[in-house]
Amino acid sequence: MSALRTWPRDVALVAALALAELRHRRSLTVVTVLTVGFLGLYGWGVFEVIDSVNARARDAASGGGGLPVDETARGVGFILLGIAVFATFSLASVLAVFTTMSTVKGEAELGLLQSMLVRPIARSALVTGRVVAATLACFAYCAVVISIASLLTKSAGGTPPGNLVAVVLGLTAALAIVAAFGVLLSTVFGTAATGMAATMLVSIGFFASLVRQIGEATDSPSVESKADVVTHVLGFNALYEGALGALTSGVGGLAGFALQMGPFGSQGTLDSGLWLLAAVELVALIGLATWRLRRIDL
Amino acid sequence: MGRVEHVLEAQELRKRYGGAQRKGRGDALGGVSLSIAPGEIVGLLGPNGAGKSTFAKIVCGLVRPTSGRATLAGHPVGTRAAQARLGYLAELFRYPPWATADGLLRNHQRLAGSPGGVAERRELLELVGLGDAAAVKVGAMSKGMQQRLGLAQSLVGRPALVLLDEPTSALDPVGRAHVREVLRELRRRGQSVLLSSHLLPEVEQVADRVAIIARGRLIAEGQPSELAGRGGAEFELGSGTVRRPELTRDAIPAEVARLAAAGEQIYGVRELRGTLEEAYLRAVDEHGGAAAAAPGTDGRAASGGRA
Repeated sequence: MSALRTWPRDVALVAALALAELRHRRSLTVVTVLTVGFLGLYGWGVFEVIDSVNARARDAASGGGGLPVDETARGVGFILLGIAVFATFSLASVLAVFTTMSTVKGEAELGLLQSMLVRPIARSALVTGRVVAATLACFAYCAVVISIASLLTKSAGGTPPGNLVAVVLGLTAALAIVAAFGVLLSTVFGTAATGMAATMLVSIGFFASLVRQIGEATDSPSVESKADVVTHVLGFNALYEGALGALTSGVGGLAGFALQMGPFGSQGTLDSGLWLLAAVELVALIGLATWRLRRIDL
Repeated sequence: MGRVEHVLEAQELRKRYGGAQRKGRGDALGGVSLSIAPGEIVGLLGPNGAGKSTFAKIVCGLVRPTSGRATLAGHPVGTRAAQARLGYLAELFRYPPWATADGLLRNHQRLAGSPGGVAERRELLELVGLGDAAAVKVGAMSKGMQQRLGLAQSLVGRPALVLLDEPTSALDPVGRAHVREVLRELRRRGQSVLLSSHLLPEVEQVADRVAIIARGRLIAEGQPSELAGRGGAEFELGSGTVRRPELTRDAIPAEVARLAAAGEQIYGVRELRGTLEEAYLRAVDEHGGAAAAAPGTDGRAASGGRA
């Protein structure tokens, strides 16, 4: 059987084994506990805030001033959901990093990797399979958490966004790139160093978003363009901003303005150019990791 | 592809790790050539750091040689075709603690593309003495059971060459004897084995041929009995015990007759044979590797029998 024909099967097999491994890891329990805690706090917070804001808006409306009650609740709901997207991306990036940080050197040090590498599995299939596994886990995570957050927001009186699918897909693509960075770094560093380096990369992405907002606020095109370069080099950040943009696409008025000034970073657009950049970056990262894996002595 | 004469054919394999030159160290492997015939068990011996693991890892495709060439069943090592014909048990291995014995073998069947199914898994577990442990999780197994499972894992897909790095290090004497039986069974099936070990008596009992590596070079190769050589004879006489290391087996009866004619009372005669351990220590010492040569010998110092 030719290697080209068996490659997809090998990728699927490696991904299935990685997902089976993930199911038994304690890190998944940690992420689950943190997520349940987050959703509990989010549910409590979103009901409290929207009730409070609605009450004030009604008071203001009865006095003949302020914004319409519906518009206020809608805007607050979007802001809270934006925070949910930020939190989901943060927690899911932990999942992506933990799933991939021991892929090469970490597992080789433990003696886990060698028994797999001596099998007739292409190294590119091994790398791709690990990225696919992390991406699938992150997709499921984002879909569940964003859906629950959206339902909670709707139940509290906010208006859920109409483009949740784009939000989830944007976040998933961003997390696929985080996972690919994790696998690439694992060909250079041990588990702990890879985990730290990948987490720092995610933090640098957030920092770039904040710097760009500062650039916008201070009307500094130079700062904005530099932050933009960092955001696109770290493709996951551009995709995260695109997901935020998808959350609020078509939202105008107070909600749109508030979201533009939101605390969770700049917003972008999930256009075809960004998807192409993400695909190229993902392939490049997987290719680099495969090249490294072929060259290192285990 | 036609039948290949040698399952493994390594020619002038050389490996220099990055930084070795800078640190003034020589090659980890300095041009080792070794071949293994179908159904042959070859013991790979050498002091720590001699290059055994590097050689084994090159054959497994885990380490790239700096120069030289090696083929496995006619295919360059490290290629998909070569990997499909290889089984490997590393010295330091670990399997997921949540996996059952059966589940682990099933995963390796998938990775190896083995169509053996349940029957192969059952047969392999029986072969290594884990027939009743198919549902036992790795995390609940003793180190010895895990080593047996590792051995079974290395046999998935009926590989042409099985490379075992210290496969009995965690086993008790009964377990070691069992592994020797497994190796003999592999020989009967026509599967070749490259057995890297510090346990010289183990290797001596089972290997058809032995290769000794020191300082990255192949310093001795041959059948264990050839390498061990003769050790002469020992006579228990009325006047005390006399050793005659220069005597061959054929010369012993004549010496007995001579001693009897000389009026000696003869209570016993032992033919002495050299051991692989002695040959090993001698060879390593001659090649300047004695300081590092501290094999974990847990066997006898000499062997022999009543003449």
